[in-house]
Amino acid sequence: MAFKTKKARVMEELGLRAGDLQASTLYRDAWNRLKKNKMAIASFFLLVIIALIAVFAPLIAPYDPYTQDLSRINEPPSSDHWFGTDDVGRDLFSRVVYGTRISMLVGVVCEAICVPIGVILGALAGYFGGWVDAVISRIIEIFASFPTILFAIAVMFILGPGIMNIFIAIGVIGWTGLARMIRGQIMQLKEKEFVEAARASGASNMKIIFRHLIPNCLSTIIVVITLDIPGDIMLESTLSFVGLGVQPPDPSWGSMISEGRKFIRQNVWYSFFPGLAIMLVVLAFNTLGDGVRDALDPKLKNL
Amino acid sequence: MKRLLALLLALCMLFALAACGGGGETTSPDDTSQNPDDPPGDTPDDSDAAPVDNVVRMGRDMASVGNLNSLLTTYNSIFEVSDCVFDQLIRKNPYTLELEPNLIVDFPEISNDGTLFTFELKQGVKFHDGTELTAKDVQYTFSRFFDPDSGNLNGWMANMIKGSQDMIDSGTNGQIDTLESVVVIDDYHFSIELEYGYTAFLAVLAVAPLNIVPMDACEAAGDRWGIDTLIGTGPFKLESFNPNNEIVLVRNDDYHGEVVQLDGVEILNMDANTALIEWEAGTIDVCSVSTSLVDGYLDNPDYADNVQFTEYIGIHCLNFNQDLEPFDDQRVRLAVGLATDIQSLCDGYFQGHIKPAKSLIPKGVLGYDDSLPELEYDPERAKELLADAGYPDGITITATMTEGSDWDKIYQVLQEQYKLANITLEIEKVDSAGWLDKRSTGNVQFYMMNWYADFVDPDNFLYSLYHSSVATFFSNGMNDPEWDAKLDAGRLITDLDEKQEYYADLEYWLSREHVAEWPLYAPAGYTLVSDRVHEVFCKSDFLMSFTEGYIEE
Amino acid sequence: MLKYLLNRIWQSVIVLVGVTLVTFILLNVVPGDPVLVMLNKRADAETVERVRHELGLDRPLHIQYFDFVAHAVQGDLGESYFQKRPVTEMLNQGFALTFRLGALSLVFSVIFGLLVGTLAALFRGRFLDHFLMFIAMLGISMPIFWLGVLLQILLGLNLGWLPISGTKAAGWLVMPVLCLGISYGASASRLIRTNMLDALGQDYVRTARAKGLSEWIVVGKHVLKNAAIPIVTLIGMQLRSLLAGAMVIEMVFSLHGLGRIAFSAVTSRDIPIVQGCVLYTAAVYVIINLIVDLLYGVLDPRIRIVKGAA
Repeated sequence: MAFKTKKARVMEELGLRAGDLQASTLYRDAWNRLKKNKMAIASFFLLVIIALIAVFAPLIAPYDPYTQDLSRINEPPSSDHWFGTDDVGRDLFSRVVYGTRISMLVGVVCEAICVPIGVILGALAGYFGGWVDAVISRIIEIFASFPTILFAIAVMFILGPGIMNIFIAIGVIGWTGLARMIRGQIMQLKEKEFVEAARASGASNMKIIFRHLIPNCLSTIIVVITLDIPGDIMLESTLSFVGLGVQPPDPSWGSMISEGRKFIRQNVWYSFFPGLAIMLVVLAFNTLGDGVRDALDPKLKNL
Repeated sequence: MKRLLALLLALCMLFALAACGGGGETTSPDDTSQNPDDPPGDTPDDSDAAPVDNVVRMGRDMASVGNLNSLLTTYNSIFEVSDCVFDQLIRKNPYTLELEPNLIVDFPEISNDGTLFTFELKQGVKFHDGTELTAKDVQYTFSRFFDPDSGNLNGWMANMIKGSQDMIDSGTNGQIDTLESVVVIDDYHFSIELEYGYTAFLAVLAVAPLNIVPMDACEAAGDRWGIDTLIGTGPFKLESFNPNNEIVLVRNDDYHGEVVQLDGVEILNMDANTALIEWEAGTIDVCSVSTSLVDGYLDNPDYADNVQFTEYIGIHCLNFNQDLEPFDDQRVRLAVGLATDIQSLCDGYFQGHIKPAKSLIPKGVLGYDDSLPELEYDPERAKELLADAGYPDGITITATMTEGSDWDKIYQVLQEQYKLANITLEIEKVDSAGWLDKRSTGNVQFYMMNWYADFVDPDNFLYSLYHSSVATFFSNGMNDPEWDAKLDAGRLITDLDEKQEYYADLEYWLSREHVAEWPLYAPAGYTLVSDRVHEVFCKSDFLMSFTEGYIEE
Repeated sequence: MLKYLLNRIWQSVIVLVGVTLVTFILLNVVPGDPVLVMLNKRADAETVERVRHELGLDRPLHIQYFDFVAHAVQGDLGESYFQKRPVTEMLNQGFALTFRLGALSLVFSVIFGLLVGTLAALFRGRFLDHFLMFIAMLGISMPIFWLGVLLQILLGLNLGWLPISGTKAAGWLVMPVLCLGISYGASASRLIRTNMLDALGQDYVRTARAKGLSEWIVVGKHVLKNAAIPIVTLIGMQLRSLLAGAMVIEMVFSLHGLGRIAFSAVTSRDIPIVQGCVLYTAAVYVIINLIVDLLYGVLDPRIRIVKGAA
């Protein structure tokens, strides 16, 4: 069908197998394979550490991220201020530490919005086919062919500024990829024997979709979530960079880079460290995502 | 074997990188021969071989510029260009902003009741297309100015001219195409009649949108005026206009006044951060620098001499919406004013670059009273006033601001200051269109207002901001018929001393007794100008002046 | 085949109409009135009324939208509220810039991906492989605007090798293309490495080697053969983020492509321009995806069969 990425095709094949296998064996095998992937495990632990930093930010940050000290502005890194200070004398290390909260939250909340939309629409389209499929497929294509940033900006304007609204904006845009994959997978799964059996025993369509088909797509959903999170983080920081994301004085890495850009001649570190932080988190998610995908299907690599 | 292959591949890779770079260069047809072999990096020192580069380059953040027609805009970046290409009948001296006759031989004769102005045009003034300026072009300019079909957004500036408001109100394709009150006497003489004697009329004639356009060329260009064609009598001609990118002006050698020394001016559209980097790299000569960044340049011995300071004729003040609680109570407005430590804002945040203001009417405008005491700062009294007004536990107010402005830092300073007086300030940020929507429907509770003089007259501050007709538009809720009557009466005063006193009184009542607003400071700006450029500067009316500029290495 | 093509074109039209409809609704739901932005210093009720009438904003929304569609079909996207000039005229130039930036970045990333991917595959499991793949991962994980800001200072100002911004100086495209191309080149290299490894393990390669063909010919032949599909996949997969990336890069380097134009139009509610920008980008997206799908069919007949089934 139209506009299918290779990723989607791969996932279809993946789903095929997932339907045949005993779920428990599949996930146990996958876990065993994942454990052998040193990079993925390292990334996993890195993410756990970052999550802990986010949770315990007040304990880790040496300063309050909002307290200004106008006598010490735009300082380079020193033993007092590990990452230096910003233009109103706030400690950059503390702000970067607090920034993890937003970035980690972006991943979680955005996916919490994307996944239900994507899974339900994708499942309905795949299961019913016909005009339902035609309508949903066009909706997917419409949302997919929007320029991401413009769309996010428009949604932000409607909802007004605020952290929650960024999450919603990103979530509302990000579901199309997942929907396509689920749709393709369900199309193939619904021909399987266990679906026939369920239907024969009088299960309703909804029951088949939610009890039999969607659980069989779980591995796809897991892979997509881990691979999509870095994109969400990147989009949040991009929106903050163009000035539409997180409201000051809340520390978002993207807005710190954008603020720091003004002072780049006085203090390069101001925008350097937040960028590094983004890179680290995205790197970890990407590596872990790769590992999870490889583990769930060892035949397919590096897509 | 494998290694050799790898080596070759690596070489290929380098090659491809280089090729790609080259590809970038060769595929750009609009590369002009402007800086063919500039040694990249440092200031483009003109070597002996190259002819002297007599062009000033300025970086400006203009967002999107697709049309230079000054009637269709309210933005200074366009007025700056139109001021170079056009002349008004009367010009403002770039240094003092005093009015001087420009296209006219002398200031007009004014009838006794102050309503009829008779002008004599200079002879031999040529438009850039070679045609001569005559009174019919002036007539055309004014008719076009008020004709709704021209889409003018600035007609209100001169609506004291007789019949102009009727013409504006007649709507598009309306009955009235000609402004009858501008009468052509002969080729070089014409008169303008006003609705009522308005003393600031000469200042109005100097506003940027009232530039004199050539009738024939403008008619011929139609909708393409400002896009493909822009012809005036001004000191510079429009050489090329690449929408959103650059505007290139060249010297007008046939100028009726003193011909400028610069060969030309290039205005490049770039964002403010980029402009600073480009300036340091020496690719542009002029750019503005925000207050928060200026210290970095002032403290740097290499750049300290390049920083120019301009105090604008304008005001930043705190605006209270009297229609919304709690600002319907004068005591609350006064309390917020008293809780504002302007001195500390100026000394701390602005590092002493900016001075506190005493009145809404800024220095240099009639009605400014230098003998006024400074505005008080007294958080204790503020608390008492709040308690009096029925808020013993303090108040929470919300300031609304546009995204992307530097002001959130100022609001954050106020936020801290107000805590002392039990005032909680919340900051709400919206984008510019959202902001205008909210403000002009009267829904903003509290905001910092900035206003720059369109023409130097107190009327442009008191009437334009606090007449009841704009109460909702500016979210100030000022609605007092008695006050309106006083504003209307002020417009008729012709004697300057009387006017000074009259407006000083009005201002005192507005700021200090009624407390419709609380003056903060006169805005100021900084400009970076490279060593080789001289006498190019930002005027107090916010526009750059290029006419006096020259280049000397 | 023809039927399939016609069907796809028909679907594309529906998508484009849908995109403009969603944009139209979004922009009309958003608070903010373009008329008030135009009259930011002074707006009396009569002037607001007049300008609104001139812009046709006093008509019912559905009429406004149908009017837009009727004109758009004839290639007329209306006139900018603020600049009073035809939208197509304003966007063509910006589009040319964005498209050039995107296309060159794509070319760069493909070349980069081919070289790095092949090199890594040849040195599979060795230091060079790990090193290159790590660099690729870094490239993918780097925020491009951050890279842009840092390169501007490093290569532009401090070293003075490349122009900092704008389109005037020679070589202005190099830095933007580099920033945008590196992250996509990095994904390309990972993809190509995997495909190369697969190919190197295939029987026909072993046969070719056994026949005594030089490593050169073996690799050269299979690089080309195996790179085609992943490259096409990459184009399809990353088009959307490439366009988004180009828009951000334009803001960093003060390039007046679609991104910058659209951004300032959105904040001033210049609806015709925003509509135009969305339509242009969506059209590119739809067309390139169509080409990509058709290319699959050409490159790999098996895919065509699967498609036919679906």
